[in-house]
Amino acid sequence: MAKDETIISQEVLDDIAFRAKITISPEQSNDFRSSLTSIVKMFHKMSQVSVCEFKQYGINPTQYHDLREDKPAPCPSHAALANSFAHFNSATGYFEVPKVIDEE
Amino acid sequence: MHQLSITELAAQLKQKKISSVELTQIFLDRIHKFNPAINAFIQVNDEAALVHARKIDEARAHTPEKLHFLSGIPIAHKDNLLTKGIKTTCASKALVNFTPPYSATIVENFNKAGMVTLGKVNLDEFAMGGSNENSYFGACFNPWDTSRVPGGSSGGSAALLAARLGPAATGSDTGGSIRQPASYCGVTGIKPSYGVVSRYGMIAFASSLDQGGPMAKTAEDCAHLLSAMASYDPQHDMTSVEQPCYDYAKDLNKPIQSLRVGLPKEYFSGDLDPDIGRILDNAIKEFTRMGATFVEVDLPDTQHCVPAYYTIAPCEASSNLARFDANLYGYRSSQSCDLESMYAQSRSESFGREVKRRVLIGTYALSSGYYDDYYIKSQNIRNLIRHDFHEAFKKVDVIFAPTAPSVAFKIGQLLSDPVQMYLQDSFTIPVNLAELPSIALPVGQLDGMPVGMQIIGPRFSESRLLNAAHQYQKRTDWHTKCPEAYL
Repeated sequence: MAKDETIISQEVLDDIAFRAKITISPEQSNDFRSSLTSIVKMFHKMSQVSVCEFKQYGINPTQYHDLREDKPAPCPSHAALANSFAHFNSATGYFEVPKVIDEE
Repeated sequence: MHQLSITELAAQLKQKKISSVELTQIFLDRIHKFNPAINAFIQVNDEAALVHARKIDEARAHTPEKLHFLSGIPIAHKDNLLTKGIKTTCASKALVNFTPPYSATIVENFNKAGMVTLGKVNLDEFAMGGSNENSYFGACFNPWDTSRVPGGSSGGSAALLAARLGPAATGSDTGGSIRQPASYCGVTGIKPSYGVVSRYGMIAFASSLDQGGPMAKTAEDCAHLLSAMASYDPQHDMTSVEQPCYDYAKDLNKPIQSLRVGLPKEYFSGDLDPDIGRILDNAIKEFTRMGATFVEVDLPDTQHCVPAYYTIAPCEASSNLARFDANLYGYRSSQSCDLESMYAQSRSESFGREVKRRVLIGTYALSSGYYDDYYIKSQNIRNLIRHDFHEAFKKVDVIFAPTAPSVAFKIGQLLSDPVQMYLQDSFTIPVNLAELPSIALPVGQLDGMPVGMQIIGPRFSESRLLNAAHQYQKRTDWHTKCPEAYL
């Protein structure tokens, strides 16, 4: 992704949507590009804040270089998930949670 | 009967002036009569509620000494709390058909206390929103004026209390979701310190910020509810804090003459409606008459709270909502042709617009190239906020602040401008970032709409906040006001 952008382009939106596993229709694209751009502009106000010298309270967040590489991995095959189909009801489009077994 | 507080209802039950079945039936009848106008309840539990109430009445007949103070009192649960055997939807299409196999610890605690579950109540989808307009089951409406929002995300909880459809409700507060709707609807609600109440079984939105809490008409009622609700839950929630069971009601009548109150100038300028400022001044004068002393305090980083919160919360939400992948539970689209499209189609068809927006922005802020600039920066700002409160509480016992910059806004007024909607949370968000407790209580009305104030304290000072709010409510009657249509 291109850095230092406050405007969310269609290309950036498509990339985020792919990572978030969300499909965005052409009708929704304008709305999301516009609202995400406003939100990212709001984020940029944080760049003016100095956080260098103060006593640390609570958590110390993990830095980026501590994390694994940020590249989308290929999905597992459909077949690998076949076991989960047992509780799926294709008529309703919902999974059915197995009946509760009381401990007593 | 529906106007009585929990404390008064408990006395009526104990003296057998009314049975739990009769009390439950009164509220069920009111729900069926009034809920269509405000859409507070997603699901009503008639049969199971009456069965449970009957069991409590039987127990009262045989072993009354074993009953909890709250036994037989009805309660409604926000629909992001898992309820074993009762559908839990989180107001999302993704979970419309989901019946959980276990209950949230909060729900278990209230069940153990003998409270009767009336049903599940409306919220913004996955608790993301401050207006209760983002619900798959339709918007919830403010009983004081149904053209206005009840606030959110615990809008259903606040609305049902204002309309007297129940005496108690649960809420959850990630950025003000208990306090803002309590203020908009003229009821009382406390957001406990992070860790006081177990998050087990509360569907996660932003795990480092989420905290359940009680909502009711009065601070005294909230004290009784919080005493039952709070518990150390080490087997289920690693963020639950080890502390002994505490009766928050026992400190309610302590005098508050020596209370030192901080007034942060950052909260009483700028965005605050001047008329609301004047109403808060009246509340401050009332506390002054009770002997409290006021000093100005600085919370200099308040202005950075909204961007920091709206980075951290969506980042955590995008991670938490990754579990809705159409593989194990919830909704699956029939339009997919492979695994990739099954994920994307199912999530796209089942998430509403605001949930998608927050998942997208969280995914963006966590991606390489932006992680340090946005996520790490916002976490460092979170530390600044904690530091600001830490310094302020060296000088004062509690801090008074407005809960919202205005009274409840009109339905649809802010839907097209998410940033403006987010700015409505600017007075409530800092408390979540700093993991502090805060109670919201009604302190006046503006043009017929309730106005609320929050009292913020150091971590684990719930008892002090409830005490201060109760003392105020003993001398005022704002908490007794009810919209005329629901008298």
